Amino acid sequence: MKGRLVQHLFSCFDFSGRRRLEAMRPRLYRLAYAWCHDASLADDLAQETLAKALGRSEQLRDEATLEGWLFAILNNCWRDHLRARREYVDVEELDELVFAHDESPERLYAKRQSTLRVRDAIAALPLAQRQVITLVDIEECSYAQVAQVLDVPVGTVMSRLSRARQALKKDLARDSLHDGRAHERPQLRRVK
Amino acid sequence: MNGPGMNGTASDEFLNAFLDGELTADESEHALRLLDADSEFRGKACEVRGLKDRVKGAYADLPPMPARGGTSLPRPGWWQALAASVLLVVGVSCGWLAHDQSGKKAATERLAGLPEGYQPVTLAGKVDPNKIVLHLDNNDPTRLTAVLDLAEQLLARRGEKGHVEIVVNSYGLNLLRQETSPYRERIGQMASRHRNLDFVACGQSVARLNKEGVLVDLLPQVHVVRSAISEILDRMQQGWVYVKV
Repeated sequence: MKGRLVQHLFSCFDFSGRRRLEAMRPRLYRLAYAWCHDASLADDLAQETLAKALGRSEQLRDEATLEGWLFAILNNCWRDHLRARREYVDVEELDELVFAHDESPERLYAKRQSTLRVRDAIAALPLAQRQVITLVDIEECSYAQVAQVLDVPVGTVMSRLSRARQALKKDLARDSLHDGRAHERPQLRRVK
Repeated sequence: MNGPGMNGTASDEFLNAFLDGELTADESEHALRLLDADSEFRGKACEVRGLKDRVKGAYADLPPMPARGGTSLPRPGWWQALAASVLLVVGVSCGWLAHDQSGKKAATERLAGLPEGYQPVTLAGKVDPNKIVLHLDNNDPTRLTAVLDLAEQLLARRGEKGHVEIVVNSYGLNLLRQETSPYRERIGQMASRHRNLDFVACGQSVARLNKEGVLVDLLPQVHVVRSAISEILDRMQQGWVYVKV
């Protein structure tokens, strides 16, 4: 008990450790944003992740794994948030969760712009696929790292990535057919 | 990793792993050969490559983080420039689909200074035969010599307008490591003689060696990229000719 307290105090005063964690904030924010597409929630999730990381820095054995360790904490914070917000208890179900945005004339116009269009397509992916593709493409994680962060086998990472890219390709190809016309999507739905 | 089957069609997983830099050296080599030989594989590779760029680009320019004590934010202008450059890459990679078989033939035939036995490979519709990326992934002493000889011959034929990049990964890394390179001096001389010659090492191979406890000390002329495969694909996309040594 005393040992833990000392360790905790030590970690609180470990300024270089703090700086290293703080330096990761923009990346955590970007990844969280890619998962939830909500700036203030992404900021909260990044903050919560860093706070938890500070408190648990004794868990981090190897400096080289800092990124993966933080991404795994972020994943837990995000799941906790979803569980608290909805009545979901089954984590398997969380993986199928799909988000979508409100449609407004402004958004519809902006959708023609590639960036928002791609974000919408990613937002429409089931959560599990969205997490894998953003970790691989935005954070350039290896498959093994992703497997560790999300606590799933590498084979699952590969099949989710494959499905995510298929779906994105299909979704984005629709653009050229319909010239950016919005497709109807409910606010928040579960897909079985 | 499940490679392509007997009928020649590669699985999505294989293609993804190739573009995500997850294949072994042998598998990558096989995939690079497929790129040249299999137009369907090439088309799909272009598509996934473009998709990767678009996903990354879509999150380059984010709504600013709500201000929190002590956190400095990057200037918006910088982010916008980055986003624009990513979109540019997307534009270029889409040109990849418009692969011109006849243009390619002509370009590789024009590849002056390349001895018999080497196979030039190109991807982009527009090929610049003055720009060549040489790929080395093994430690065979004759190939270590050959890659340097080849670079010098190719540059000699092209003069100022030529550009050669030597990209090494896997065991090929030995060519550019202080402790293993038999050509430290020669590489130093070549680098100072030719401004248009670059020595590039694969960051993934370096990381792998570091992980195995081997401290990698590269020659001062070398710069490190994230992965050899993406570097090669980028170059090919920009119209460079690829030659495996």
